[in-house]
Amino acid sequence: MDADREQWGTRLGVILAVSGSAVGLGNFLRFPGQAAQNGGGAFLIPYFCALLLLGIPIGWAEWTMGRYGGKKGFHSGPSIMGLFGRGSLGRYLGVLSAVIPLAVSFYYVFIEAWTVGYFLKFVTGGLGIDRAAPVAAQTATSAAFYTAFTGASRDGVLLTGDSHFTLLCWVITFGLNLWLIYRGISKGIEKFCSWAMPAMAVCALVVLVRVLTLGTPDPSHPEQSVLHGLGYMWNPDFSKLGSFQTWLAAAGQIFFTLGVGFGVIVNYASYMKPKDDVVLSALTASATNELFEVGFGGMITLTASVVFLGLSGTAAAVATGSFGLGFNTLPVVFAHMGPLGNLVGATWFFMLFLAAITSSISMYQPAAAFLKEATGASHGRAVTILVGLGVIGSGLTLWFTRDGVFWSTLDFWVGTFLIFVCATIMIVLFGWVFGIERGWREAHFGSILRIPPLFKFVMKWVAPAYLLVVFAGFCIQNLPGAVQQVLGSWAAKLAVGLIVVMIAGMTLAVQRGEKRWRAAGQDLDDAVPSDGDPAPAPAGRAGG
Amino acid sequence: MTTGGWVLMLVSLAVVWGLTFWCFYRVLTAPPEDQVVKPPSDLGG
Repeated sequence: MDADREQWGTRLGVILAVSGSAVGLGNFLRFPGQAAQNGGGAFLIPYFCALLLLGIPIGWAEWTMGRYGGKKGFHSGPSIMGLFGRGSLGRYLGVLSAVIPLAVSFYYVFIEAWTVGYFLKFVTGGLGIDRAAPVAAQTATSAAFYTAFTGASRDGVLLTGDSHFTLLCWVITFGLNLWLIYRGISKGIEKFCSWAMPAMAVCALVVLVRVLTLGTPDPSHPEQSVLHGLGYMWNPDFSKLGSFQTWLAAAGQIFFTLGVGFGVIVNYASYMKPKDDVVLSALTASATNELFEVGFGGMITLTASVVFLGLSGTAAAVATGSFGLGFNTLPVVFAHMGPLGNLVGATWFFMLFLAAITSSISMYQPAAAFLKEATGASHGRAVTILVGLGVIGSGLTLWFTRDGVFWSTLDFWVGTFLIFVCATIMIVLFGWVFGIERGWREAHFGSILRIPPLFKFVMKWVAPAYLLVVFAGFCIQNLPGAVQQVLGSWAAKLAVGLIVVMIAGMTLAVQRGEKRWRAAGQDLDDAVPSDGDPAPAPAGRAGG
Repeated sequence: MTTGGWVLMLVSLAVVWGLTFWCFYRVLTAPPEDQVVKPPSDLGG
């Protein structure tokens, strides 16, 4: 039985959809800051090591898991991880892969609405930054707009205040997302990503060309030039390679930029045809993401900032984090670009919007698939339930806006911590429970490329070990502070409570789904080998 | 911009642009799905 018979229309379609899911705001805002703070060009050495040993191998595993699940008629993380985990434990651990994308969508769509708001502002004349004023005053104007637009001053201001501009942007964003999900895999997500990804590349090229041709706008400040900007990003500090922090930051960046462990890749790949290639597709999606991150993100953001704000101004902006750089500093930079500044700014924020929406639709789809699978709901009903869940989750995000505590708590525990956990579970299930030999055969079924045999060792040993070391380092660095934040803030407690409720609710849904799947005679414990899996199933695996 | 910066930037850009173009070339010139069924013989095909 296959309750959800949707499929991707073309090979390119699924690649663009997964690429779109991976390319997000972090490619343009987080990556350059991480590189500049961790050795500049030298950062790219641990970065590419992590890409090769962590990102691409886990990506291959997830694509293979997804397509295999689709062959068995499953499309959600819990059911697919049940196949690979040979029973209920895998399914219940797989709840994370349904919780993560939905919970992240609660705040991601809010941030996506910022890009819509900034785009509309730049189209209609900018943020009102006075070019003749001192830079400090310009930055203050930009920061004031950011604080008002994001509601950072106090809780409830976005819903009860005088201006409902942010709310309007959120409604537009949320509605567009759900409409695309309602349209379905091929007519909605694939069709949208098929033009959004090329459009994003064109926007990025336009902004890149403008930034690289800025020269030295102010001859009295020769250090504020394109070359110095590129130097700030790329000049290597090899001494940083001796620091564990640099390797940790590089692995973390690769891990999050590729979207592994998120629950999206397994879901998207499950809609592939049984004989579709996964090896080249996974590699192409990763390469596309890297093009946007290194090829565009690494060339545009900091270069533009240095040209107009200088090295010290840029360093201060980087220290404020990705959002400070993107939404506080860059509007000031665009204001300095003269008559074309608003056009470049609008292009930039439209590009960020495309990057964000191609990611956010990928967050709703796994939840929609899970709702359909677990409850037997129709597509329309699943989307209706999603609207309800989205309004509740995003409603909380829109209310508890003070200092961004609510959504940053969700981001830490779901968008970072649980993703580590989920990715670790996935690669262990693939390499150790399902078995690396069987997984290797499954990956190569229908493949256009052959993975170098060395990667069998990498996928079984290196990637899990690498992941565990990075996860341990991450926990040591961040867990104490995160726990303190939860203990000290009601908004943070509420965010953690929401996560717990979601995990509990989805666990109950898995329990209900198990009964449905068994009653329908589905092979939920992977007792019957599928096409391309000539190996007999090990005895005793049908339990669960 | 130092020499090291130039080298790392150009190598990085060459890697990401080259890999992306090569991948898309392979995707767009690959035979239709129904002609690619079996894995290589040494992989159990």
